[in-house]
Amino acid sequence: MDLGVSPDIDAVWCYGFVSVLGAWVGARQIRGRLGGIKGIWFQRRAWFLFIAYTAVPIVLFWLLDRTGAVTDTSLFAAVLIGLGYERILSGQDDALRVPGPVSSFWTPFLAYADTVTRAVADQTARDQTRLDEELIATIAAKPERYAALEALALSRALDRPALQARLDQIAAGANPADEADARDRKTRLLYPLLLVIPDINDLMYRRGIITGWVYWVWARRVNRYSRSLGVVAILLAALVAGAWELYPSRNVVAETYYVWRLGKANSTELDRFRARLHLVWLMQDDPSVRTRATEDLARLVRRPDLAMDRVELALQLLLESREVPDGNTEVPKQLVQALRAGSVDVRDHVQQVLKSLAGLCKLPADDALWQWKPAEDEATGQLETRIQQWEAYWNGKTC
Amino acid sequence: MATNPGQAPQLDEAAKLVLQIILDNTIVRGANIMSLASISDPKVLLKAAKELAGQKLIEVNGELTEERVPLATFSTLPSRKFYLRELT
Repeated sequence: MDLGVSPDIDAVWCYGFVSVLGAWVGARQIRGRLGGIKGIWFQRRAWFLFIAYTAVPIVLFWLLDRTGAVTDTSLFAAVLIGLGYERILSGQDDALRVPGPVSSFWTPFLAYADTVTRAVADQTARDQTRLDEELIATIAAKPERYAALEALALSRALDRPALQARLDQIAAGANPADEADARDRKTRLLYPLLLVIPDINDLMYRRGIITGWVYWVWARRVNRYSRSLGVVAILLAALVAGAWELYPSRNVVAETYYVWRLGKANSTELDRFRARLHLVWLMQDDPSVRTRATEDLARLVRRPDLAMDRVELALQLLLESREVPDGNTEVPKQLVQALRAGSVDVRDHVQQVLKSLAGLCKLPADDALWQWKPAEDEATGQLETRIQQWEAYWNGKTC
Repeated sequence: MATNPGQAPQLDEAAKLVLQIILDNTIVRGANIMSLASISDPKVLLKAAKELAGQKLIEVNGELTEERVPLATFSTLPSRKFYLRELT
């Protein structure tokens, strides 16, 4: 598939698609690998495995974007990775290839799935043994319960005389003074035979062989499920509380995100355009975000590895952010600090913008500053002097 | 008895049926296998389980005795499912 024809959408949505599809595929994997286990979603380890399965496509999407194989704004890439990450990692996908070391990560991941299965199997076996022991103890504790069990077992026995003979043998060999011991041994003989009956616990409950408490708490595991549901409810409540807490600062989160998109090395033109539109809107709409974004954009301009087209974009945005009734007084202050950028080209661009800004604000020119042209071999002391001159120039001026 | 490398193990029909049920259920009790496979005699399950466990095709939790085999838990590892399906 040619991913170049894909719609280019905001990376947030792409990561969202990858997460949702990855979770869906992860749930299918769990069902496929551990699906036969009763109450598998109440097993902690199954959730660990599910989270691991969901995280893999997200990390893969990020990694392939970093390596330039896809862009994280490509809808088709998001869908392809979300649905087919297993094929991609195992090298079976023709459209996308991962670097060798990444694909070798899949083998230990499958080994981890085996480990989880083994652990879940052990846990299930332990739970079953505990349940068996509880049921046997409950039945053997009361003669009437045992009598009902014996009647049921004999009615279902393939070879009733043989079974009766074995029960008589246990009774004959038991201490007459210890009836409970004999009942326990006979219950242990009969109980496994009855397990073959489908829904045997329901049948034993209806016939009074086990109590309602044992049936609901042990056999139906209501306590365990309610405990698990309690944990889920607490996690959901924490999620809602977190969202509630973050909601007032949503503009700050959005500002941080779009500044990152603006400076991202392999973003598409459309993505940068989107980031610009959103940042302009945020800076014009919210004064506190405007100040923060101005600082972040000036800091972005100083970033050593930033391409010149991104520097231009950030500077254009800073100028554009002034187009509100009360202006953006932070722009000159932050731009002067951007003169500390390591690249002489960036310093030159910032110098030009500072002069333009003074012109836009109808401020008088300062000959010494206006004639200064940043140079590669400029001494640190000289640069610092120019920065102080610019600071002094803007001091007390409104723009 | 472990299988020689590269040689597919030969299983009798009862063992194949038991293996099929374990694969379908991932983790399953002996009693449930008997119920699903309509095996009324625990000896039949015991023989099949010993055959499968002896060739290390399944994992067993519990005792493999005539009396306790309905209580034992049988499972397979996810990474072996594809291979095991070929045997059934």
